[in-house]
Amino acid sequence: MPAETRILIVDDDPALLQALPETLRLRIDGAVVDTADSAAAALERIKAVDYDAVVTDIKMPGMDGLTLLKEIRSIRPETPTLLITGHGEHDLAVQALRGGAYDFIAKPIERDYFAASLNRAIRTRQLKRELDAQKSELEEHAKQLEHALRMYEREHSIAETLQRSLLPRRLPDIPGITAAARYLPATPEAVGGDWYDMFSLPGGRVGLVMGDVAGRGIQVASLMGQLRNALRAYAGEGYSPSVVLSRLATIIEPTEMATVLFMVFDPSAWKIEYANAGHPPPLVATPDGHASFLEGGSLPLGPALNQTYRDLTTDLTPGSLLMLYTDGLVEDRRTDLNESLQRLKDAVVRSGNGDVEQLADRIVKEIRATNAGSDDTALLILRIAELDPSKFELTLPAIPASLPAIRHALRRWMADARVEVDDAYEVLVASCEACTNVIEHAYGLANGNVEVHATMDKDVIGVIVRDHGTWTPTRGVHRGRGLHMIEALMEDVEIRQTELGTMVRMRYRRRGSRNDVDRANQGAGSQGRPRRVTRRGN
Amino acid sequence: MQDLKGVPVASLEGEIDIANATQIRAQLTAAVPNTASGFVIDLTPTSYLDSRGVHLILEIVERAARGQQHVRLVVPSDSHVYRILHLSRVQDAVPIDPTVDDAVRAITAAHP
Repeated sequence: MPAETRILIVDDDPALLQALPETLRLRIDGAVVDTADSAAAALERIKAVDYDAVVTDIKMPGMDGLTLLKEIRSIRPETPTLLITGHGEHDLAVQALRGGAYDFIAKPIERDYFAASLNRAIRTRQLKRELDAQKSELEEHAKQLEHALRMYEREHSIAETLQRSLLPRRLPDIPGITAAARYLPATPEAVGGDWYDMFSLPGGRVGLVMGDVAGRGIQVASLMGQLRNALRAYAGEGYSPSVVLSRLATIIEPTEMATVLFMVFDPSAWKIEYANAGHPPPLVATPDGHASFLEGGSLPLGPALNQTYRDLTTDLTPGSLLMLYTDGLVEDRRTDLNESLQRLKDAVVRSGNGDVEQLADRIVKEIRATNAGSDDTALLILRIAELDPSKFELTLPAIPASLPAIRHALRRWMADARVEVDDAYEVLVASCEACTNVIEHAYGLANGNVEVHATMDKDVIGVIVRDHGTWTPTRGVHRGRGLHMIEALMEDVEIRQTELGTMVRMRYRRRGSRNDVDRANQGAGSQGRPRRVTRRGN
Repeated sequence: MQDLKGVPVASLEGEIDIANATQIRAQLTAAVPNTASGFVIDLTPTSYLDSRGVHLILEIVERAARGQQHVRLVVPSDSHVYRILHLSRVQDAVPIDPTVDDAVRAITAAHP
């Protein structure tokens, strides 16, 4: 309660104005009593001072008490007003109460009752005033909160937009690989620094990235963007994963931290080379149901200066599954990390050779159920296609660097199909001669692809090499040598040129199915074989 | 690149195609001294060679002939590379020996 209680007494009777203040001062703590001898004078005071209570006689010359009450109700509706009525003036008393008076005091004034009523009025007034103050304070808080929330939402939406724009909209189509990715923010409000990436590299290789910048918000999302772009650039330059990571380490400040796993998959050799800066180990599951984590790596980027990173290599055989993820998938406060990792392993093994999209959905559902999203989570799953021993398909950029990849892939395909070594070598040379011609002559300065399709049965291996370019006229004396080689090695060759490109179709008869004349010529070259060369188009 | 009885021997390891043919030619021409009366290209450790490799070898042989230098190739006759060279009739342009020793002996005999 405030130290001062301000009361105004209005009466035309000087005796009462004299006596009442003293009565109130004695009975009401901290009472400061003003007096006015007319309603008009009282109104002036009331306009100037916010009284805790007003006491007025009902009968006064000029403006009477009831009119004054009405005025007070209009200018100070919260101020309690008590009216003094004459003895037996019940009608006036009722009128006063109807007019909004707090109470009426009948003459002769019973002092204790008067003081008690006035005290109640004052108390009510003061409580109301405190309540109002609290209410406006609360309203102020609410306003500030709303403002903060708006700012936060703005920042969050910027961070989220930034973060989302840095994740691949769709994963690249890479022959022989099916892939699925997911990103789950911890709560809709929290945008973290998790990111994943998948992109093509020269020579048919594929870059895979899983990273996690510590913290949340715009700054974290923007650092994530820098790391993502730098990684792509360094990887595109052909640096090994460990070199790429050590270059990334120079971008990040010691006060920041990020874990990054960078892997390069070579589909022609079924090998994956990787380096790991403090990131959770990726999971590999082989088609026979064996799953293991690829351990090994260094500290995260950021705080640890002069870190060295190591390149590690592992096989990724056809039918295998590879999973990269961020710690949100396996870390929560309630479950032991090893238990989470084991659970992940089980989920992957259980999925067998199933669809990667379905596996991703199932894993996401499981996290949602057990982990309730305490951290954001990114997930990238790859399935290396099973080999079809009867069929081979490969499309690569028509550049010299693609040749080794084509060779490795063809070699591997034929080895897996147990093609005899000499047969395999001859098919390999003929096919690569055709590819070399595409690389040298099909596209000029433009970019384009070379496609290799091959099929085999027990007698014949068929290879088609095609492009979508226009061949340059013969240039240089050795130009014809590749074609000569193809013709010498293959049973028949058909070259078809149209405005859509060139197709070289070759058939190779395997040693086991040649007739006796051919068999007699084995080893000494294949000059004895019947041969057919067809050319169509220009 | 090594020297056997004063004869430079260049061993070509790995695979030769258009991706690296230019580079190999540059290395070879830089490594063989102009003063040598002859040299040997050893294709024993070559695992793959196609028409660009054949082209490379014929170019070097032609250039050496202009400088009166003797070139001999070394390829085991049961190897795949030998098959490819044979198909392109490389043996008509340059003698092929089964071992480095044979090649070196032939060169030192011709230039005592």
